Amino acid sequence: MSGKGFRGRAATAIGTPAVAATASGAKRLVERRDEAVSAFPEMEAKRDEARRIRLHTLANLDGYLSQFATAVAVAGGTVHWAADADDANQIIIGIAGDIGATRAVKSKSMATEEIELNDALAGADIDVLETDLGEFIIQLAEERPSHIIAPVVHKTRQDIGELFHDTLGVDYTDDPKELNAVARTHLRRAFLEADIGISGVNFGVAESGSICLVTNEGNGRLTTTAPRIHIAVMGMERIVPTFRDLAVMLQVLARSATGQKLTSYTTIVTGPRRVGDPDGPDQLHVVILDNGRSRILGDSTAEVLACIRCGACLNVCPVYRESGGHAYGSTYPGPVGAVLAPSLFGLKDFGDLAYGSSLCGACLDVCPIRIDLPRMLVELRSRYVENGLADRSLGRAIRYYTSAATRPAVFRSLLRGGGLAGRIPKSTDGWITSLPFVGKAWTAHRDLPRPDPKSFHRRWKDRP
Amino acid sequence: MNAEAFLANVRIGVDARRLADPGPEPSGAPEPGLIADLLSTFRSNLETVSGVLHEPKSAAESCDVVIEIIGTTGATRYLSWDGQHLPLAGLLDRMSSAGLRRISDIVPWDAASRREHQDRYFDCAVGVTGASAGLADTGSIVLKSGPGRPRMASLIPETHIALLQRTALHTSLAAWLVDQLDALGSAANWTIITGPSRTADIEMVVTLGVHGPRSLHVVLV
Repeated sequence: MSGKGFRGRAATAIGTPAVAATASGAKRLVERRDEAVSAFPEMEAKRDEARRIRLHTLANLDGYLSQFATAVAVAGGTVHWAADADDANQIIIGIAGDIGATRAVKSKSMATEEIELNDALAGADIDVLETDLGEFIIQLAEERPSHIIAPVVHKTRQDIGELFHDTLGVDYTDDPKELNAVARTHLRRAFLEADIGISGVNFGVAESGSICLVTNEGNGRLTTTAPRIHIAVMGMERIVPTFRDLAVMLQVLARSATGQKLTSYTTIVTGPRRVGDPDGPDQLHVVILDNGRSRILGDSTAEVLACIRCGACLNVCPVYRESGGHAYGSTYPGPVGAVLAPSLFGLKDFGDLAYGSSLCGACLDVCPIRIDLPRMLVELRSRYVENGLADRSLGRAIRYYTSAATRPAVFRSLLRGGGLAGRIPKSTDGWITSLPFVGKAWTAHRDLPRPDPKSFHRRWKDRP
Repeated sequence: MNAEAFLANVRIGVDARRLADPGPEPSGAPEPGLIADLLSTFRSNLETVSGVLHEPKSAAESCDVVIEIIGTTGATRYLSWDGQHLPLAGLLDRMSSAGLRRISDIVPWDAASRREHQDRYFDCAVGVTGASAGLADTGSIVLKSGPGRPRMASLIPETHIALLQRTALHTSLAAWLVDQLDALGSAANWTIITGPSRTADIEMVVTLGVHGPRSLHVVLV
């Protein structure tokens, strides 16, 4: 992450082809989501129910996690508790070491991005291949994903065509069908040859110790069926109490994410293969990850843990669409990322993300769990200022404004001066883009409409 | 970290009570259960996700349909669930008579031969399975893994043929669950399949047949 901060990175990104591609992809996802929601009369009721389920679960998380872990063990799986990223990576490397594993295949998991698992595995001489098409492309390009569910929304088909040509040596094509076929062929054998399959978890079901995977490509199923060992990495908050609750979550997840009623594959895994099962992994390991989540649970931003990672908030966010995911400099971009990143990774480095928002509330409008992201963004800003991290001059500007605005006579004379300001040349198309002195802190990030030379007080006095 | 320490940290967070009140549980209103025409709803939703529904009029015709579908792929080998788990008695014998060869996909419980064994069927082009249920509101079929019901049969091949009993059609996942209670935890793997495998990762253009089947045929028996 560069030292420029979010605004600096966003400023560099605005207008680039990567952002154009992002905006176009986000727009399409929003259209599909809107269509799916209008076609589903129960959506609002289901959102309410989904919110209730998630809040109830988080309020009793220790109990449900305990129930979940016991049930996983009863089903023949092994639970590992990871306090933080390093802990999780060491656990996974340990499991691999126990069977002398050297090759792993992965299906898409943001939790594994968060802990930087691939780097850790590489450090332990374990080859890991991403099998989700978007993640496979990201891996070849040596980049990070720019969206929670659509990792290469920032790339055009031409970008991908060139990438495959350069790194895989195939003939250049930019037809998505052909590119898809290239990936399928290239990855097929990897499933066969891997010792370990690593996945995320969309939902853990406490009553049975089941893990639910929501996927479209089939790589999620192959990753968790072909190799001998299946390791599932689960953020500790991704629990629902029962299958009935899972059914509610499934009704809102895909509709919000991609506009599908259900994804191609909704898989429910309960333990490793059983005696008599013709196929499936011999071992199942579930790595439950804290990495700051228990701290968030005790904080005013606790509600962000209810997120089910649909990505809808990213797709509607005007700031995300204009800056692209990489500008956020975090595993989790967009509105949810702007709350999660400072909470998980530190206010100092990521608190400025909370300012990358116009507080328009579009995220809250589309969130299937009705998470109040705008409220939490404002709270994070407040915390950022209280911790002395915010630009001092902004505070000064606001104090000056406050002292003027609370003194009517002062305010009126300022307005009269403001009329003069309307004639100051530094305005473009009726907007003041730069003010001197303390005003600079304001206009650094916002334009002011040019005040009319005649103030309202004047007009009122002059009224016929 | 051990479970006690981990959960102790969670408990501290929980005890801080920072979350909004979840509100009361809903009154238990039943799922909207009445779909006027279950079958036509299922057909329509299956087709929306690019699945194909076949409605043969007899058991014999059902067998013919399966063999015909395989014929269009040019394949002579196939993966399959055991005959006792297929809702169409005698199908496997009929397929054998038609010159089609079933490949065993039982994976032994040991590393080396596991890889070698899977290699033998990884290029199989056709898979035949049953289904525990059809879900009309999404056009989905539900498959349960277990003895005689390999997962790979619905995953590896490019063409997946699923035999579904008419009586196994339900309104929705939630409606089906009401009668299932313990079912979903009773097998190592359940998969709800809603159309063929797909991706839209490249410019949001939907492409079928990524790592899973490209064609899904549901034969109603």
